[in-house]
Amino acid sequence: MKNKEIELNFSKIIEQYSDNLKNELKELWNGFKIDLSIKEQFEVIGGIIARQITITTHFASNSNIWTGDLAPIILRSLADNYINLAWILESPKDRAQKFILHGLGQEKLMVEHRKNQMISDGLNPDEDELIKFSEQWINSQRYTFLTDVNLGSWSGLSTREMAQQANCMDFCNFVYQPFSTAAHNMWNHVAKYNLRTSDNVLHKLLKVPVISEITSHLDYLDLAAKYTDKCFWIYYKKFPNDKERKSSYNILKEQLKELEKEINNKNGSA
Amino acid sequence: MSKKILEDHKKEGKRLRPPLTTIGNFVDLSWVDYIIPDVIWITLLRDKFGDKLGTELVNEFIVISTKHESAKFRNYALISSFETLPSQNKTEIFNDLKKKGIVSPMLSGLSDFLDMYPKCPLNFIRPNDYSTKVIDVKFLLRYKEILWDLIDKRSKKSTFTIANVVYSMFVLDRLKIVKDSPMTQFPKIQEYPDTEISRMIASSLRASINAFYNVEMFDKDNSTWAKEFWNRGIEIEACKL
Repeated sequence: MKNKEIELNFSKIIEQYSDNLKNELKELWNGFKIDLSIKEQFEVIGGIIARQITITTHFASNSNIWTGDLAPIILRSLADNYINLAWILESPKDRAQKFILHGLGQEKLMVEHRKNQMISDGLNPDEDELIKFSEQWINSQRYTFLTDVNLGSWSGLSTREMAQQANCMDFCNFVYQPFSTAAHNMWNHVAKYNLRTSDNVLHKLLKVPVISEITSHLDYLDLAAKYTDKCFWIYYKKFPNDKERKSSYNILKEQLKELEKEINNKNGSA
Repeated sequence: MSKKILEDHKKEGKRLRPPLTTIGNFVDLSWVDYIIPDVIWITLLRDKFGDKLGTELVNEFIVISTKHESAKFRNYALISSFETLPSQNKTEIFNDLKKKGIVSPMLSGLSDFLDMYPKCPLNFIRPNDYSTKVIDVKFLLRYKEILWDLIDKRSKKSTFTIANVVYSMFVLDRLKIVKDSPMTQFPKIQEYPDTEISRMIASSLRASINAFYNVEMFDKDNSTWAKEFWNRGIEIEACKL
């Protein structure tokens, strides 16, 4: 099978995967029995899942970032998002509120910092479009002068504690934590990916900086798709319905397996 | 029931400390950083003259040096011990070495090394400084092979080098061992790594070598030799991107 043909077939699979995810979100949202008296709950759940899908579909469309250097940053964000969702779903009404209020407070804080900086720079914050937009955005949900700013975590807990309460400690230990090393550019990522040991013994095993080549691994796409699928899984676990769910992740896996078979068959017979 | 993670570690605030680091005054002493620079001369002499003659030469040098030590006890198997030795003592050592006919074989085994490391404290054994200061390329290749071997603390070269240091302590009657220790069969180290007893002895040697380091040199960062040794390496062959 020629490379161009493989590329084309692969792109089609990714495109279909994105479409399937959008359809899954539609099904989920349309399946909501929306109670507008607690609309925040639906907004937050819908928003978090939409965020998960957005990140994953963008990620899926860019194989150049399926690398050990970049993919973990994205995957860690997906893991964080999942843990948030899992914890919120344990008590959606008040936890969704907490999530929103914290975000509004953070936005308010950013606006204040920006105003301060502009004044220091001799500029008029009242004329700044970004400040105007942000304040309008906050005020459309809660007046800024009535909005708390919480300097701690949004849930009042660490991600670890949230994972514990949401019964996904393994996910925290084996996904969130390890990928945090890349997200935070820690030594145990930098030393493995961005340094190599000098092969000259006179250099006392000095680690020398390297800029890695782009080497894409399909495994990272699989992980992103898996963590997105988990969001649907956890939602339907909490709010089951009698409809049979068609998992976009499972379809993706089947199609990739088929493609692999085709490639092997055609290469074998070439 | 699953084991608690790192349950043997001691919790101090947000830090989990391994048991060994909580016993007494733990000193983090790296074999590569500090001890290799100090014992490389032993490895070179053994490489030049073989195990038997090399060992004899090394011991002779250590015994003579110890005889002329200044007030503080130092381990003269280690090059850094000579850093702060007064010139007078060095002269006495040199004269004694000359009398015993040891200078010549020492220079034969160490000249190329001393050419590479003009600031090495052992340079007192060639007071007339007749070195060419040109690095012998053939020697450099061999030297790097030896150094790679030494980087691995479990290699034969490393083991026999450490054994030499410890043996000199026995000769000077500065080391006592308990009767059940594998070290009572010390001569069997020659069988390393082919027999179990030799591996046990080697293990004891590796565990004890740090104890022979002149800790006050390390604590007060008094030793410039270790720094000089490695920085000289990168001077000889730069590390460039």
